[in-house]
Amino acid sequence: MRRSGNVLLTIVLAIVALAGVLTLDTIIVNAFTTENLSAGYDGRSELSGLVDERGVFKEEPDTYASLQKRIRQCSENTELNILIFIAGDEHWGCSEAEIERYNDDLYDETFGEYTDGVGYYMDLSGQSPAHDDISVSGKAAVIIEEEQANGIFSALDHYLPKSGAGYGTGDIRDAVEVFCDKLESYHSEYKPSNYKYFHDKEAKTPVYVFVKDGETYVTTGRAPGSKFKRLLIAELIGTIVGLVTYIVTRKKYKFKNTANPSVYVAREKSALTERSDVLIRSYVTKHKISSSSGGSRGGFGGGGGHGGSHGHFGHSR
Amino acid sequence: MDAAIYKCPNCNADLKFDPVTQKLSCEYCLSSFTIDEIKKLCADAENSIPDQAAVQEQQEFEEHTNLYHCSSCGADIMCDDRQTALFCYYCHNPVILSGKLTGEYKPDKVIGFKLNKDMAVDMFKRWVEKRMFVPRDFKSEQQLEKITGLYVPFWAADCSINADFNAVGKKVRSWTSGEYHYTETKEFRVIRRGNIMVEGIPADGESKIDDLLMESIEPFDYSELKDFSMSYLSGFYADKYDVDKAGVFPRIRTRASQAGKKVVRDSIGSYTSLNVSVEQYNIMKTDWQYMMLPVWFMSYKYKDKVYEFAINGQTGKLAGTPPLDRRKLRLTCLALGVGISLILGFIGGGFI
Repeated sequence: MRRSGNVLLTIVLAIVALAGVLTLDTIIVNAFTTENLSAGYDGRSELSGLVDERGVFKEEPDTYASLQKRIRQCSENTELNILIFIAGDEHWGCSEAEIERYNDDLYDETFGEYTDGVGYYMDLSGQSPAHDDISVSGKAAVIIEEEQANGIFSALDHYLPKSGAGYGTGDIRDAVEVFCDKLESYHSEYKPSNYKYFHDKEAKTPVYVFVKDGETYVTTGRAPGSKFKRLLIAELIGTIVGLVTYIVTRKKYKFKNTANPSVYVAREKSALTERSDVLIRSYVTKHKISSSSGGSRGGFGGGGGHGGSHGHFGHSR
Repeated sequence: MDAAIYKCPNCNADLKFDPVTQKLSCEYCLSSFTIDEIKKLCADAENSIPDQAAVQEQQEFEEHTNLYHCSSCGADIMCDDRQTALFCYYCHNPVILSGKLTGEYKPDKVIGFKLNKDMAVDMFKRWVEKRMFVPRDFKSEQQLEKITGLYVPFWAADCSINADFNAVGKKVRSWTSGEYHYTETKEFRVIRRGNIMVEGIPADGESKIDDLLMESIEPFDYSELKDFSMSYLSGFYADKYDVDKAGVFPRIRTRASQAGKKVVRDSIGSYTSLNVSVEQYNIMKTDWQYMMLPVWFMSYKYKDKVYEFAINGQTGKLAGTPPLDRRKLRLTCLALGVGISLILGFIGGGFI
């Protein structure tokens, strides 16, 4: 009866302690919340558009105008700033890092820092390999993640020329339209969850982008959910260490019997009068070794670096 | 018609004939002997008459030994008549003089103290300083004063053991040749029989001291065993035994069997597996000695539980159960857990 009472008391205390820890974590998470830097989307879709440094549409102003219109429409539909930059000869020989930095800077100069938007750097400089880059800022970071970026690159590969190859304006036009279509598609599929976040750890000013209650946050601190989870893991490890220390220490306070009665054997007066190990049976079994085949699994990975508070996805053609 | 009564060679109780086994059995210590065995053992036994010197020693013991009784825990403490026992070293309550001891409690042998109290206290301090979760007053000077030099009554037994071991041992080896994996198993009939002698297995005759505690400070060096003299008691206390030979024999038998088993098992080579069919260690004869062995002893009562601590007064071997201040341990573990959580929380990004 008393034992079951103790167990019940222990369970109640554990529940109270857990509730206390969770409450404390909530307080800590809220107390250490950092400022939201997000500038959002200001609705000025006219800022979005195509920057044709390569002069692809120089001879086709109507196509250029229709693409501008399409991009601005896409901007309104997605509530994201969109800038598509077609790099020309000036950017021949740029490294991936330079391309990323240029893409970020161009975006920030056009729309401002921490706004919601996408910058697409289309490398038509003629260098080999050509390197395209997607720069995501603000909410776009949680809409376009690696999977979506690869989807865009893959779709545009049908229209964009291979390294050093020639191109037709129709292909570039189609590529821009496909880009807008994909962006709208990903935006419509996107269901902002409470703590979906993007950690831009390689940026000059690392930021965490996450969506909470439908609002986009760009902060220098982690998302509350992530902080909460990390605190819980730290507390779990602390609890395990404390418990193990308790159990190990308690064991050290138990009595240890070190007696060894064999020290009392008088060897010179002891004798084994019968001592035999007689072979009574011997047998051999055999079995065929079954052949087995193994496979190998390949892995893949990727990554990229950049210079601003943007996320990046690079692609070489 | 006179009925022959045989005494158990192990515990001195009366043996009874068991018609089922056709052996003489001891109901008390569960030993059993064939008629031939017991006749041989009785013929070997000495039937000596105590000489004059021994009688004198017994009288001296009776005259110069005071017995003190603890009315709280029932302990009987003896010391020589030049010393007065004031408190019971088990429960720390006052003791009263209850009379003289009869000659039957006079030990045969004794080992004198080689460690003085200062040495014992130093050893205790070294032992306890490694344990940070003992209650504070366990380390206090007042507690150290309670370390008592005590002659503990021991029954030391020399046992002749008949060992009988029968098993099937397997040796397995395996190898691969071509497309086949081979396993060779060899089975051996393993037989060990013989006589194993264990000498001086001690068992304390004091019910108030934990048996395992006394076993843990063994062994004593019997080469320093001397005939008992009252002079050894001077400055120390001694216990009167309250467990006789028959009472300690089950412990002796267990320990003697363990010793015998070790000898037999050590003689068996390395088998992959051993299927034992017979393993018996029968004690055929036991010779006893009643001796006083030196122990520095301390008991400590903490939360209704008595913790005992002992040092072998001859070799300095130490054993005991340290009391645990659970509150202190819980608080320390809690602080450790919280500290680690905070550090990991900071490092792992739980705060920023």
